[in-house]
Amino acid sequence: MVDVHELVVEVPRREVLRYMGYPRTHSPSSGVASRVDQAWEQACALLRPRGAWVLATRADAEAIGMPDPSPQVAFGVCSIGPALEELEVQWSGQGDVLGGLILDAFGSAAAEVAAEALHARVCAGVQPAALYASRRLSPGYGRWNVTRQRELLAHLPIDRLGIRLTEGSMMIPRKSVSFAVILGETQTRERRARCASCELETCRFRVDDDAGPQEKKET
Amino acid sequence: MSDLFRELGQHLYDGDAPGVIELTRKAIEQGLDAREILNAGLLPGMERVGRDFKDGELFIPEVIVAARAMHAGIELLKPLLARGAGPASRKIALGTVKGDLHDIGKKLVGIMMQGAGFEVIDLGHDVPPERFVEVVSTLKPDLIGMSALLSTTMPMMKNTIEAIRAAGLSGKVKILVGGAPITQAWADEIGADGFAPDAVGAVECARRLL
Ligand code: B12
Ligand code: SF4
Repeated sequence: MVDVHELVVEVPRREVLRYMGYPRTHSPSSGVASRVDQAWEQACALLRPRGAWVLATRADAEAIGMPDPSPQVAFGVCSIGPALEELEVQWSGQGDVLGGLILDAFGSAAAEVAAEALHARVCAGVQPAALYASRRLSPGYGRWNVTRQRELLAHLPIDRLGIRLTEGSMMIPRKSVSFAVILGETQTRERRARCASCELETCRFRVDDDAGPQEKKET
Repeated sequence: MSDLFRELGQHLYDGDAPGVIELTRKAIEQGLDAREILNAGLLPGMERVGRDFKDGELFIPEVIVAARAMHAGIELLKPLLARGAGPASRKIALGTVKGDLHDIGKKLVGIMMQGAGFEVIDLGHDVPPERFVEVVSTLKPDLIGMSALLSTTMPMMKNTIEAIRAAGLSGKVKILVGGAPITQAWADEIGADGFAPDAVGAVECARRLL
């Protein structure tokens, strides 16, 4: 049976601010900053980041439309759980749009960190077999159609993770990420920010390529 | 009087809702015309917010806070505005199209519309074309705003426009579209009346269309 992992997630404040719409050069006003501080602890307490990954073959990967797979690949999925979203719905329903935006941004940043933590597990998990994992590739990015997400998730224990799919193949909880990685025998040094290869050039969250590597962040 | 309006606009710009409420009340008590309080106090404040957002000096959260302050002021003026001979407030129904779960962007459009004095009907996310049609025929909004964030749900905007057309309602409502992958070219292709890249632009576009 595929293991379900509890993931350790520490959400970087700067990422939350980025998802709230602040470029790296700007900080929020004091009123907004204190709202972020107030919501922080409650938001952290509501996270239940969990994920799972499996090894698969090139044939599995080709069957679900993954572009350019290697002989061995890994599939993974993670989620931060439903509680944060429930509070967001509650706050937004009460007309607290700013609170809703903060929780939404916090959830997006947390989902990304959870995906990174799961990716690290994949890297560690394949190391004994002298394999190296590439960076993540998700259905919906580049040539991989987002509707293939359903087939990818058929390999993973989504019921145990509390994830379900809508008719349109979207995951609920919304703050979830699915991905695949290529496994190779040599380490590829391509820890490039995904922004650099993302086709969505008008993205308002894009990290510009001049930023130092520590600033680069993928979604 | 112009000092009062200037101060009102500044409180609005700072997102200070209690300050806006206090000064709007003061202006009403001084017997100033509600429409003038709106046009000379609140709206210029909000326009400045929109301009500074466009210029990259203000960001979405500050715009939300200012829009809420604006809304608080408008709530006080509403009964007085309704009594006057001015036009009734414009109505927009907003929804994220069927198959799509992204709704934070659409919510932001809603709050900006409210701040600009529109009546907003939020239909939520995953909204099928039939629901849009039903809303147009029963609630009679002046505008429909559709949001889509996925390339796979963009065509649903077209389906919705076609459904509105098929129901014989296309002359009755203007259609606005938006979301990260949406462009003016896409809006033209599917026969939408307007497109805006962000929530402030959405208000400008709505005003242009009406
Ligand atoms: C944050 C984010 C996430 C977060 C949160 C997602 C969520 N649902 O909450 C996380 C990390 C969890 C995530 C996951 C995924 N994501 Co994602 N995500 C994004 C990202 C970076 C930002 C979306 C956002 O929150 N925007 C914030 C709001 C404020 O902006 P906005 O919605 O654009 O709204 C503004 C304007 O567009 C406009 N507007 C909006 N609506 C309207 C309406 C009208 C009428 C008007 C006039 C204007 C207007 O005004 C708004 C305010 O200014 C986008 C990229 C992007 N730039 O959009 C990708 C993006 C949407 N994701 C994408 C993908 C593929 C995914 C995944 C499927 C990946 C995967 N396989 O796991 C998953 C799906 C998760 C699921 N539930 O199934 C793709 C979709 C591509 C496609 N093929 O369609 C995108 C476009 C990224 C990309 N480079 O391709 N994602
Ligand atoms: S440009 Fe692409 S990778 Fe970068 S933040 Fe936007 S969606 Fe994510």
